[in-house]
Amino acid sequence: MDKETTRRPSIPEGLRDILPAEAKARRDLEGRLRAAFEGRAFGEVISPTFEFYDLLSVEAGAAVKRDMVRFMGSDGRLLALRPEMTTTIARVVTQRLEPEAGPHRLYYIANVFREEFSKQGRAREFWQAGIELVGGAGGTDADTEVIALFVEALDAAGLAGFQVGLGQIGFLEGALRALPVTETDRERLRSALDGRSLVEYRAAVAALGLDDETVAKLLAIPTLRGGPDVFKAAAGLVIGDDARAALDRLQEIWSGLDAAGLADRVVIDLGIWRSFDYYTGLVFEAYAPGLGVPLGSGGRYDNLLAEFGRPQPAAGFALGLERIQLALSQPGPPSGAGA
Amino acid sequence: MSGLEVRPKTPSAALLKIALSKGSLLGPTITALKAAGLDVGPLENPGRQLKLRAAGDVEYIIARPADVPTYVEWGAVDIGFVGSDILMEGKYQLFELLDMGLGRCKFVIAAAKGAPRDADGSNGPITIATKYPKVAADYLAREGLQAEIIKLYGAIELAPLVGLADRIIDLMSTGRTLAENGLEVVDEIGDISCRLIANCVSYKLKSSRINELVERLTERHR
Repeated sequence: MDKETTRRPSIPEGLRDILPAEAKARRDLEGRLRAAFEGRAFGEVISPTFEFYDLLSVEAGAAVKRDMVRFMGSDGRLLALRPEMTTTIARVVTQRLEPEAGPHRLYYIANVFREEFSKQGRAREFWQAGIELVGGAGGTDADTEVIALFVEALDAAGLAGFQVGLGQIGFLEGALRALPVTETDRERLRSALDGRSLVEYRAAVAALGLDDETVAKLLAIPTLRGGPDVFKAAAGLVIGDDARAALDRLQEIWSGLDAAGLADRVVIDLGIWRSFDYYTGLVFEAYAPGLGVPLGSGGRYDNLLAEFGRPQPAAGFALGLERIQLALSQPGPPSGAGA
Repeated sequence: MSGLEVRPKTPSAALLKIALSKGSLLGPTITALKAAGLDVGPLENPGRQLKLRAAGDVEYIIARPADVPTYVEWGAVDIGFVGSDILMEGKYQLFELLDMGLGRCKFVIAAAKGAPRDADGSNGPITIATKYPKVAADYLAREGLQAEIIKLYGAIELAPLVGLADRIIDLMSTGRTLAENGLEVVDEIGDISCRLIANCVSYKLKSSRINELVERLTERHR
């Protein structure tokens, strides 16, 4: 046939079809994660693929807002494809369930969408499996339960040699609240950490004009990483009562994990910082050797439901299904990670 | 930042993959790595090899500067050395660990000597030629200026001489090239130097090796 008359069909950049071999592996993976979530009595929520842009952008970081796939409804309202599921689950709990009757244990397996303007050809649709534990007392028992399920889900996925890092945003945020610095100064420090630039962070700390001891503490906080001896080192870096409370809470969570026999599965890492605005305390990430991006992440977000008028504590995580499949397909035995 | 650091329990035996920027940064970076105690023997005589294995479980690649952050972001290498001009022009998810203090220069905006210094576009659009359109756009936004940006791939100084652009935004180290082409600095945009960058996951899983290197590079610096 004449080449010029047979035009191949195409789809928009950054999207892809999943063919039978990969689809089968994907469904198997989903089944194993589903079993892990349901094993702790979490129930599935299936929600619409697109919602109001205003709602989805509540408490989303600037980058997520900018990267949402937006379009106009026939009534002229701005809509967006969901860029993640946590805000949607918070909406479901406040709109469809009784927030105060928690704890609600919910999970999802869903496709989410983000534009990566600066990176043509990068995926605009990807899949996440995650849980949210909403309402109830919101104590450290809830944090421990969420982290335990995070580890169980990664085990169930069949990954070996992954590492989970536990951080606490409240430790540095508490210190910043206690210091005589302006909100502009705080924003510069946060934006340095959002951009993962320790060079800019050091410059921003130096520009605060604080005494040498405080400067040394602020510089040391994002580098604290290791086993339980981190708590001893961190105790010397406390600035203010909020930071002390945040550190105590992290230590309590760690003790809960220790009691559950999970202490050797996690590393304490006060350098973990998340760019979603809604995280308020505990944050965590999982890494696999040979994969350049985290497998998944989560944390506590006690202020998000207040945005919908029904304040409730909440914590959860999301795992990237493509990322887990990539990590599972890495050749050779996992090396590097201390699991 | 040393002293208070708690060593993580990740093993240190794994291979550390390092990307170096080809060009003017290469020599100074090798010197700094050598002073920090790394085996740089294979780098001093690379031949046609693209991947260079060195003693002490280190592997080097030498790449075009603009590709170094990409290798690091995707985890093809663990760490890299690259000019902050490249980092400013892109948008990468990676850790910026250390200012190496090497390859210092400046981003400047320059115009032909004698050209009106206050050209603000009120007499028609002004045009800026540059290899760095994002840096140029960020500068214009910050200063509240409006201009048309023309992307070029080299010899930016030529643009005002042939009437392609009113101004240029480019790197300047000594200012000699600008002067030789009858150009002068209108404004300084920012300082540039070589940075040590790390992949987000490598920085966690190989933290003891990477932090050890950071400490040795920092000591040398002081």
